Amino acid sequence: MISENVIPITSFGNVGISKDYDVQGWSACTNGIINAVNGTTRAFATTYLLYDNVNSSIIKSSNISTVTLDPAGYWSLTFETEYDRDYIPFVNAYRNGAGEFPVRSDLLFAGYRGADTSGIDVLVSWTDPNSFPRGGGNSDDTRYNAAKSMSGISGADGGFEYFSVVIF
Amino acid sequence: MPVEPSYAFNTFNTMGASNGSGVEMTDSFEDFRKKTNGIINRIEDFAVAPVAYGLVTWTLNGNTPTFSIENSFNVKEIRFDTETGIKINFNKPTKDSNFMPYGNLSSRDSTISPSGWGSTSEGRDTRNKTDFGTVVFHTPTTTSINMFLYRAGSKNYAITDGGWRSASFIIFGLL
Repeated sequence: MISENVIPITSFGNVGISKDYDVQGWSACTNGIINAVNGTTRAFATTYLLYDNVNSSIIKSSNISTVTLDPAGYWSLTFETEYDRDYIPFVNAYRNGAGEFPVRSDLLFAGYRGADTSGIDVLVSWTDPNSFPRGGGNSDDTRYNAAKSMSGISGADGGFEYFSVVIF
Repeated sequence: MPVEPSYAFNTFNTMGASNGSGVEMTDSFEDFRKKTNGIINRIEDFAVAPVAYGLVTWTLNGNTPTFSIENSFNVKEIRFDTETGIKINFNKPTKDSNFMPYGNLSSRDSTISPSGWGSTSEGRDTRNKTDFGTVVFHTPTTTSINMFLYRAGSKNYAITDGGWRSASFIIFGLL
């Protein structure tokens, strides 16, 4: 956090920087912006991925160098810039709205594993009443037919067109 | 695309304006310009931030829910119908509809009664035993997004079954 020559963004965020400011005021406002971006809220995430699971393509991403589908059904992501600290990942899948919903959308599971400085594995699955998400045991055990939404097979994706990752 | 010329944000975003970081009084206007462009790049091209969030709560009169929204950001209103679920309308439209939405069901009651156990990642599905409830987002636009509060295979049953009382959501996107 910048501690000197700062005007908090709460003082000018709604009106912008006053034209009456001199250089010092201008720089102090800019420092307030820096603190807001980098500071207390931690509301910005610079590592993220939005993936189109129907077309198997990245819609948007930042700090993601590779996205690889493992034959077991999970995605491996690698970072462009490694993390030097623990980080907080969020994973989810959602729909564009087309087509039928999967039978049991209440059994959507989105999670991650293997989070380290250089990358993370992402697992998203849903289950129908005759199956179940993989939980205990080996998450790569394809006998359980998990990770359907990650299959890349049209019609087998349970209606979830997108999955997303946001890391703080 | 990043604006140029610029300094990388992480080269000047740390401690104190007098020790070589932040914007300094000794900066030239060109330095100032590059740092400001670095801030713009950080916000516009390389970061996501919440474009909306809130806590949806409801009460039931029989099976008829009445909704309210609390502690919200950029939420104009919420609407509900059985076909589309809870529609979250934004105050300010977003730049695009490529969101990264997250949500959880919750309750302020001391007892949560989803008629099951475990989570969706644990245990065998035995129909209504492990279906803990899931927030499913759908149909994003620049002015709204919808969410179903799933349970027991029903799009809205988590609202009316009485086990849950609220749902939190946060929608990430580009500013």
